[in-house]
Parts: sequence; C-alpha cells; structure tokens
Amino acid sequence: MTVARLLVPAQAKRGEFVEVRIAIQHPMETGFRMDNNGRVIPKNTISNLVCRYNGAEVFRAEMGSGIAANPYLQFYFVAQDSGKVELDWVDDAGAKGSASAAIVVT
Amino acid sequence: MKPGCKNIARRRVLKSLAGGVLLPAAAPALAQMPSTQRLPLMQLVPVLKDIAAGKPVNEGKVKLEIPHLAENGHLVPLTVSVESPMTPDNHVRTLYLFSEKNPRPIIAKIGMGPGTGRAALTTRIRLSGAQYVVAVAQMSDGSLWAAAADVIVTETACLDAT
Repeated sequence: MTVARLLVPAQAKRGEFVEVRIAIQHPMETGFRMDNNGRVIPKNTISNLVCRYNGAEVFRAEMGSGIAANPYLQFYFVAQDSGKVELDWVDDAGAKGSASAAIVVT
Repeated sequence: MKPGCKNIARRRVLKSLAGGVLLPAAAPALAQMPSTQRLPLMQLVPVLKDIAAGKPVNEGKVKLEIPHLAENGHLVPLTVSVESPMTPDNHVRTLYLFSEKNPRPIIAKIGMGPGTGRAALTTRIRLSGAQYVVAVAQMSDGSLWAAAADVIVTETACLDAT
C-alpha cells in the first residue's frame, strides 16, 4: 500500500507563495538492482506527477531513477482562491495514486 | 600506560578536528560554481544537445544548492531556484536536472508555469559517484539558463543495492 502525503498550509493570504510538500512512499526502482535469484528488478519510478490547484496545473514532475527512494518534493504556488490542491501520480508499473488538501485563502 | 591510551588521545584530536573543520564543511557549505568559470556543459551532459537543439545555454539565473560533500549517494538533498518573475509572459517552463555520471543522465524534468509563483524546487536525488550536477531552466521565450555544481559522493548509488 503506497502512502502519499501532500502538505499544504491550511490558510494563506491572497497572492502569497504557498509551500507545497509532497512525500510518496515508493521504492523508485532503478532497474539496475537484482533480486535474490539474480533476476533484474525492472525499473519502476514515478514517471508522471501532477499537482493542480483549483483545477489548474501548477507543477509537473517526470522523475527517473535519479530521484531518491520515497521521493520528496517541495515547491510553491500562488494563492488565489480558497479551494483544493490535488496531487496525482502514475509509476512505470501503472500504479496510480492521489492525494488532496484544502486551503483557505483570505 | 595502557596500550590503547595513545589511540584514545589521537581519537580525541581527530574528533575535535572533525567537529571543528569537517562538519561545518559538510553541513551548510553549498557547492555553487562561480559564474565566471565556464564549464563545458555539453560535454558534461551530452543529452543537453538534444534539449538545446542548437540554442545557446547561458550560465546564470539558476541557483543550485547541493552539499559539496555527500556521504551517501542514495539521498542527496538539492534545491534549485531560478530568477524569474513567473508572469504569463516570462516564466520558467521546464526545469531539468541532469547528472554527469548516473546511468540515466536525466534526473528529473519539472514542468512549471505562472501559477507556480516562485521557480524553486527542493528534492532528494541519487548520485552514482562524485560528479557534476547540472540544472537547466527553459524559459517561456525558449532561452536556456544553467548552473552546475560538483559533488563528492563517498558512497555511490544506482549501481549496487538501493
């Protein structure tokens, strides 16, 4: 079971830069590792991650094996209206995940 | 005098040295190439040629903060920020992170826009050996800006167990 955490402050002022922190529990397999039987473990990284704020895309990441296991991302968006911050991601194996957080803009 | 005594004194000296000299160097000291020193970016990261597609890659605007000495290549903290007003006319469209020696040179491709507000990203990367890390920002007008930093990695990642 994959756990994705999306941390956004509960409140923000209009026009302020809001810090978003994302942590996803994911092995980010490089494709260079072998299992106990010597077979290569296929590459499996979060190839696509999108963060939307009130439906508009504010951040997108295509991550390869160069991103550490359990990826952590910290970025910003501009607070405009109260609403929802949504996170969606897909990995190479086709597993999907999402998380969302509410933000009140004053 | 016990046989271990001399060693303990030596250890104490080393410890104080480590506390006084090595730790501050490892923790807050961030590697940032002086902008006057031009690096052969295209040689460091040949993939950049495809992305630049003939356009010049300028050095500047991008700030790359990464420890100069990374103990563990499996987890190297990194912060990239780009000087940009992030308006609809002038913003960072794509931010690339490249590695010189990783088996896959593209670490990540980040999409940004005017809604992002501040062109900055903090993440943790894997590094396979001591090498240069290059960050390239593609602006909305298509111009490319880059910064590079060299990192010494004591325990390498990617090629052995994660």
